[in-house]
Amino acid sequence: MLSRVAESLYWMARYVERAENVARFLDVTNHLSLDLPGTTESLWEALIAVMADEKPYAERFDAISEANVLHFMVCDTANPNSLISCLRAARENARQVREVITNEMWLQLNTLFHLVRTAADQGLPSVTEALYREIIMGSHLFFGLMSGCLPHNEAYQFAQLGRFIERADKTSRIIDVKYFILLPRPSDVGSPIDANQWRAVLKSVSAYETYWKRRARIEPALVIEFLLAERDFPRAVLFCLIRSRDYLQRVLSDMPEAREREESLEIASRLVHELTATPVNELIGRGLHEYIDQMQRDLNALHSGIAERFF
Amino acid sequence: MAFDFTGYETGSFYDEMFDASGQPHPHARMLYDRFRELSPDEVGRLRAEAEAALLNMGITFTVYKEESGIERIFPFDLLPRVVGAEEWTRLETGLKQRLMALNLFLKDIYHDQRIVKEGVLPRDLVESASGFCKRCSGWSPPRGIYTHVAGIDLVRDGEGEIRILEDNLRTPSGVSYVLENRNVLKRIFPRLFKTQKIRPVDDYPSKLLETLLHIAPQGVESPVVAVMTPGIYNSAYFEHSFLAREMGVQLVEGRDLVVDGGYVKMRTTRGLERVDVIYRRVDDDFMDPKAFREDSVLGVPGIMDAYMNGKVAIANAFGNGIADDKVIYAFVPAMIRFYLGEDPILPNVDTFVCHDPKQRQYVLANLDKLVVKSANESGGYGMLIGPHATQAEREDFARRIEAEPRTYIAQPTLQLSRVPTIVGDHFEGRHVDLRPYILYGEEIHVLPGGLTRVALKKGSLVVNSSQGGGSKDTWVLSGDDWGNGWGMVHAPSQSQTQGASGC
Repeated sequence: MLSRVAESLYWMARYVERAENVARFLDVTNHLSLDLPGTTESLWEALIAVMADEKPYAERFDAISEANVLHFMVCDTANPNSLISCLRAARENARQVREVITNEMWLQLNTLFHLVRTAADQGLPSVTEALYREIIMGSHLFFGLMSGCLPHNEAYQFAQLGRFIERADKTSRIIDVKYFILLPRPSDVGSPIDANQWRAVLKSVSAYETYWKRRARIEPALVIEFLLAERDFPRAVLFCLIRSRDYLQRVLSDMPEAREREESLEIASRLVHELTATPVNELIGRGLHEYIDQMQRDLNALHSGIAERFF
Repeated sequence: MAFDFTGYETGSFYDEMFDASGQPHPHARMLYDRFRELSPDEVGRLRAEAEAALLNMGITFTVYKEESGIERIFPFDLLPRVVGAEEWTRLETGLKQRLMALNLFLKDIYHDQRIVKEGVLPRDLVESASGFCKRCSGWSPPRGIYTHVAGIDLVRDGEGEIRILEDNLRTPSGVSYVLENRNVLKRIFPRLFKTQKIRPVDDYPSKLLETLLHIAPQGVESPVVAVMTPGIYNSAYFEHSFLAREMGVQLVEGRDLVVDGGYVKMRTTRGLERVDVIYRRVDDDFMDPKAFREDSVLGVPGIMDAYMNGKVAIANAFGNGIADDKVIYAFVPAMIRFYLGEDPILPNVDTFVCHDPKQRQYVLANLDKLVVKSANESGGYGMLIGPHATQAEREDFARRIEAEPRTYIAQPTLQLSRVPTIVGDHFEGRHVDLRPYILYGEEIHVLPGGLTRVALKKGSLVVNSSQGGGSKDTWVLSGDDWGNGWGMVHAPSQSQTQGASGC
């Protein structure tokens, strides 16, 4: 497969997955803000923090407000992480590989793009819960068409690789933000507001129902453990890391000449190992924020390794 | 109220749907009846459906004005243009004849130049043509084929005669619209396709692949074919990608290719892989910065050498620009007589070559009646439509012609035929041309259909998409009595259902 094509597939999937995660974050923040009395600025601020976009946001807006954040994260073409930018980038990449993906995948991505573009053109009144749902569902339809109709060949593996690296990154970010930013005062721990927020975090990754089937109560350490290390839950970080490693291995196994050291594979394996071998309580004890920070640096290194080897 | 043809005027023009007495041509009858059943609401709905389908399929071209670019669909009119079986047979024969002669011309011009030596074509016209490729002299492309893919533009004049307007022998585009327009209409008028024998166009990609495989270097067991595009910002990118997908081959850009050990190879995730045949949609000048324009970033350094050494086959051949030069065009009927000893089946539009002093004089004296075209421009640019131009514009062209007579030709203003076209809630006549696509492989194959371009502006004669043109599906009716369904095939056994015992 052409290197350029592999790269486009990888990024196409990353951007669709990113759009889905952003839509999830927006959806759940919206819900949370309805449950909270008084000001909700801190919630919207946290959203900017999830994406680590504090700097570009501050360059464009003076104050945190729901309207500003929504504009920034949905309609703002200058923000590369906004919904419109993610879907545009996904589509530009898909356009590069139209002859590789199926026609239905292209059609679906294009339809999704036009949906968001129309909403973004119309501005905030049209940015609603229904839009977020359509993006989340639309992303699944896209990946469903990919899994169900595209041969599970190299093209598919590169796309899946991008998708799971992206998802690992986003789930880890949301844990970090909830734990590190939304928890300013120790007295809030265990309060109804706190429980509400943890519930919202679970909902944002569609984990709420599964969580209650497996855990008896909402407790920060339990939620964190679930979101980090629930091996069979598809949005848990560990699940995503395992998938990333496995797809990488598959891509490498097809290579005509094996190299002695495959740096990217070593990083992926190490990430999986760390999370499997260390109890989550211990990670929290050592400093969860530091751990997640390091994981995100490792994910970046994983990406660089892949780019260097294949693209 | 029905959305019918009440009040439709053919005017003084030849109409592709109605005869002079206002009756539909026999081959357009069925279409006429079907449209008369539709209410304005239905037509509106079908139009919206067709446009949404085209937009969602991404069959758009981009107008680059803002940072993001505005995407437009190539405007599409629901009412197809129908060509009767008999007329098509004549067109097909005429197009094959013309393409054969053009190919022989290219071979001759890059070898013996008999046509010049025997005085049929002035030598200085050849040497001054911007499309003449000096490096190609004395060299023969694989199997002697130059014009693998051609698009030849046809128009019908006021007398109903179909004439050749222009030959496109380098990288003609538009065939993807033919295929996609058909897909849309099949979805919208399934019944018409069941009851009428409309010749299918969807085997074009497989025929194109055959054409490309035909020129693969000898001895390569399973040749690797690629479509080469300038990239996603090219206005025809959709088509490049479409063709690669439909043929199941790689779509490459110049930056994906490299010349290595004399061969052309592409950069893949597993290292370099050889490419044997390239269907390129990049102009000659941009193909190889070593051989042509140094500033080209679209090409591949050294690819020209690989091509001339027979390590890679490229379609279309280099140097074809000499044959579709607007001035050389005037000599194609003479070429047909010269190379084939036959009379041309399809006539040219009468053409005055300004290079010739006598003809130039006539042109300058009659600028208000003529259409003047520059040999170096296309897409409807660099043109003077005399009767519609101002005095100042005509004077400007007169100066240009005198300064560079070689560059200009002139033709009488044609009364292009019209086809009913939806305008708001009714039909109005709009001028059209027709571009059939012709493949030259083991034999010459004319795609039964083509791109009907329509000038959407009232009274306009310019059909180019960059100048407000749109398109229509083109239906070529079949003369023979062939069925268009599959025979019944019995399934070996029914699907299993829950609870039913299989044994």
